[in-house]
Amino acid sequence: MKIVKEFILRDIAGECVLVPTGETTQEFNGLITLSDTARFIWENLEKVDSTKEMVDLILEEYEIDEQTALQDTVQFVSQLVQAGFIECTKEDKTW
Amino acid sequence: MMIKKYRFAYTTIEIQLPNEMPIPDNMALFEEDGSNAASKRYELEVADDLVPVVQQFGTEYPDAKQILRPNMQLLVAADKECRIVKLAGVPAPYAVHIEESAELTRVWVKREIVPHLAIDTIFGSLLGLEKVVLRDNAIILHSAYMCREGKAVLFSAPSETGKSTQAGLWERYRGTRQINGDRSLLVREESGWYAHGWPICGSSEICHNECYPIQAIVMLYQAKENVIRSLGPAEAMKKVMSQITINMWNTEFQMKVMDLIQQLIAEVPVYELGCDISEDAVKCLESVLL
Repeated sequence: MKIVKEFILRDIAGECVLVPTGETTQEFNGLITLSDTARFIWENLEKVDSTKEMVDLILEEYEIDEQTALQDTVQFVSQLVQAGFIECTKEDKTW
Repeated sequence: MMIKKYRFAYTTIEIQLPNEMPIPDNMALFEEDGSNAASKRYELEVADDLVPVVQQFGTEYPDAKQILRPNMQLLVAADKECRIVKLAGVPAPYAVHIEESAELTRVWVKREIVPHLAIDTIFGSLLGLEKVVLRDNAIILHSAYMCREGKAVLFSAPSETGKSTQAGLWERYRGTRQINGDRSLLVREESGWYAHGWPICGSSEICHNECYPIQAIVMLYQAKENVIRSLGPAEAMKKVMSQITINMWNTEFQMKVMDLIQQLIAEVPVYELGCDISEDAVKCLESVLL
């Protein structure tokens, strides 16, 4: 995956918030509060090459079961793709 | 040519403008006697055609990014900014503002619009003051600013929600005063946050240059029943941020404003008031303003 919009992660009183910046604010200017896992996924989107790699990475970091990690990943990543914040880098669009 | 000097909280500016250019009456409240040096100078001139000014900027800065805003088009280069200022719903611009340096901004105003510069919002848009006051750590909140018992209570919400109406209810039922019907300038001073007056007050026509410590910020929404709650940090951040003048295209500006808002909401209570237009709305807010 590739992040194609400009965002900055900010900590606001212990909550993690994704702040649109620069040209991205022309289309979107709300703040998005991220859960711990969502923040982790966001930070690692460009570092892994598949959903499975992301799930493995989450399982290394958090004490949650594989099913939940998979659900979180698929749900959050598809929301980001739909919003146009990220784009698939693989030709078959699986990641 | 006239040269005028103004001071907003801790920021002093100087404006050089032709004698025939009107200045909004409210600006007189902020005139500076001369003891403070201006950190920013504006040179205003009348132009028959704005196109050459923009074209020249475009030629000098071919890589400038173009940003579109409802009332403005911007050309943003690495260290320079050109603002093409428009009236809502009118495609042709009425002024061009070029920030030559941190100390100097030049503004060209279309001849036909000159008589309308007496309107504070039109005049204010020429200057981009939010950028200048931010250098002195001050931020502009879209709010009806009321003084109650020597403290500032700021009603904030999107336009048409009823900010002035709520401040008006307090005036009627509790004898409070309004300092500005549409904007306030917020500054963190040694002893805490203060609301200062601001020369732009929109259609409210209520504008005074007075400063009081901020007791609370009240984010409003219309409701059938009056209800008040304290906002948590993330919610307060989102709501307050949406009503602060922010140059979102300028990341450095945006981050500095966010730092200040974070400090503001950590130190000043932020409430959300769902309200009607009765005395009950006043009582509802009063219950938390001890």
